[in-house]
Amino acid sequence: MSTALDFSINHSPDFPLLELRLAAGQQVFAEPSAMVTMSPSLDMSAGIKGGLVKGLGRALGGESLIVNTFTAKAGRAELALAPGGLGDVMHYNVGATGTGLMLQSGAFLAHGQGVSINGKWGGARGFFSGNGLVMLRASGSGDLFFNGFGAVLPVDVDGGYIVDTGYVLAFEETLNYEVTTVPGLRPRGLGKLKTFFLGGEGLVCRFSGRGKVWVQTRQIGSYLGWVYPFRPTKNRG
Amino acid sequence: MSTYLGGVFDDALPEGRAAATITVWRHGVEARLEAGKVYTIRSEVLRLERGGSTGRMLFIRGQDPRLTLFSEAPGLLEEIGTTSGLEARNAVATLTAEVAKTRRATLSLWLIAAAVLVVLGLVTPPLFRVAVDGAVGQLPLSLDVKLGDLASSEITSFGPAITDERAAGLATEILERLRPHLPPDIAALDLKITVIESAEVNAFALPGGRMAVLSGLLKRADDVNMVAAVFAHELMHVRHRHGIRALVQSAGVLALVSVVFGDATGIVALLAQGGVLATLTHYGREHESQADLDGVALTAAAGFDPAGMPAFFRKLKEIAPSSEVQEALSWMSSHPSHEERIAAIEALIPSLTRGEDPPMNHTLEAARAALRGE
Repeated sequence: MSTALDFSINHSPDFPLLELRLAAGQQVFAEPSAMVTMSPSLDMSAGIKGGLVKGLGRALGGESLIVNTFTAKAGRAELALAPGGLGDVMHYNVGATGTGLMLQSGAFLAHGQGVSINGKWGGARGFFSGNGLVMLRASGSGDLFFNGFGAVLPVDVDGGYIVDTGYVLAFEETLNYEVTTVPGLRPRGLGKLKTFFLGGEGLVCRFSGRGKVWVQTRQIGSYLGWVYPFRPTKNRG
Repeated sequence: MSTYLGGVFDDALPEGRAAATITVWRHGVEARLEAGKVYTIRSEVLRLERGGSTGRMLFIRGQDPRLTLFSEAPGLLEEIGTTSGLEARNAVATLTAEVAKTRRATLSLWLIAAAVLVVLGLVTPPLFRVAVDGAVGQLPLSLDVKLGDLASSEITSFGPAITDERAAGLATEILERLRPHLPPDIAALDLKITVIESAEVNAFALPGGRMAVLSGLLKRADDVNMVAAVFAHELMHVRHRHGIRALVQSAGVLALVSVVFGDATGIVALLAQGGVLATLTHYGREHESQADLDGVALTAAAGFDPAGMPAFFRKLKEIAPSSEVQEALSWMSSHPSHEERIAAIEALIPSLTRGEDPPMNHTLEAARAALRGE
């Protein structure tokens, strides 16, 4: 186990930048092309962390097979990282609460030593939740940084909580979850079916138990739907 | 005795929870925080539950409703079963039985879901086809004509129209010989053919009967029978209304998708990328085979040599598949392979009765001379 990372997240929530100050010997593992600036003394290497199987698991979870490793070999060094999308970056101390963290595919940005990221089969729940068949699971102990779309709200769940599937960014493993329709919308009558299909509020994640859920304030599907009419089209003359 | 990594939920803790190492004793289960605080849940009051997002998290509770220990570490449940008191062993046995029951239930759900998917996969395509046939049957033939008119301006985008009577007259004469052997409603359509100056070996028909033949076909065909075979094939697309059928089909796919997913925008984008094309080309192949077989019968009825069609396909194979020619023959991509088509056509030919073959007023040789500008 290594010492915690010294970091700050600035310019949140729209265009956050994760700034890290590494002590000699500390390492940070980040998704490819996340690096914005770095001290010349930092050593960077690309590789498939944890072997091919783990790498493939990550790849199925919407992440790159490759993880970049930054090592402060010669004394203190600084590193700034940014996610690819527009949205806030969150910090999570893996292991501090005795539970791992489940992440929406593609949410991983970087982690410190002691954390491992694997693909985790989400099954039918993952498929219907729109989070992909494979989710990411962070375990071990150390610092983890992940990014969402829009702002990100951490919510302490105790009992029950419902989030539209597209807005679930991450949640702790102590939580039970099921993917279901909005309560009261069980498709029994035709009117309800109509609301289900046309109302745009289809499936939700229903969490129960105790733990934290991170909710993002935008979802990529709706955003693309909003952008679509404005896309440039080929003029075939 | 081993220790297991896990955690504790306790409202008295700063964040309401903390990581802990869990140890199983005879008198109960103990959780020790890094800060040194120790929680113990006695065997007599111990309640166990499986859950968490993976379904493998073990929750351990006692009498205090605000205190919960949890761990996902393998082996913990087994150790509680073997080490702690009798009451705890009973709790373990109950939970193990529950888990096994849930697993069986999940497995049967999956099996049912798989069976439903298989049945849907088998039933949907034929039902969809019946629906398309029904829908096309409801649409008047005049709609085909309108649709064809809309697209007819694009005919000349292949090249300029050739008006020389020797070429245009030959095309019209072949078409007119085929016309009386079409069903009455199709024969009554305003069938028209234009010869277009283009090196491509191709001909096409728009819904409603507007046709075009590219001059490359007249130049490369060995005889009139080959040209008639291509015309007959294209006329069968008109007769079976394949154009409007394809439209109804793609509209139907979109309608289905929007009913199921509530929103078709993503699927439209997918369609644009050609994702659903595979489904449509499969249907396209059926249309092509239908046009081949009915087309060859039409040539024979009109007195042309039905062997012209298989001969034309052999000819196409011969033409060097340069990229330019392949692009010109882009319609071939949705067509069945040449060998399959030739075999199917030649199997049909012996059963056909050839009609009377009157001498032609126009000849292919004269048309070619016109195309060469002689």
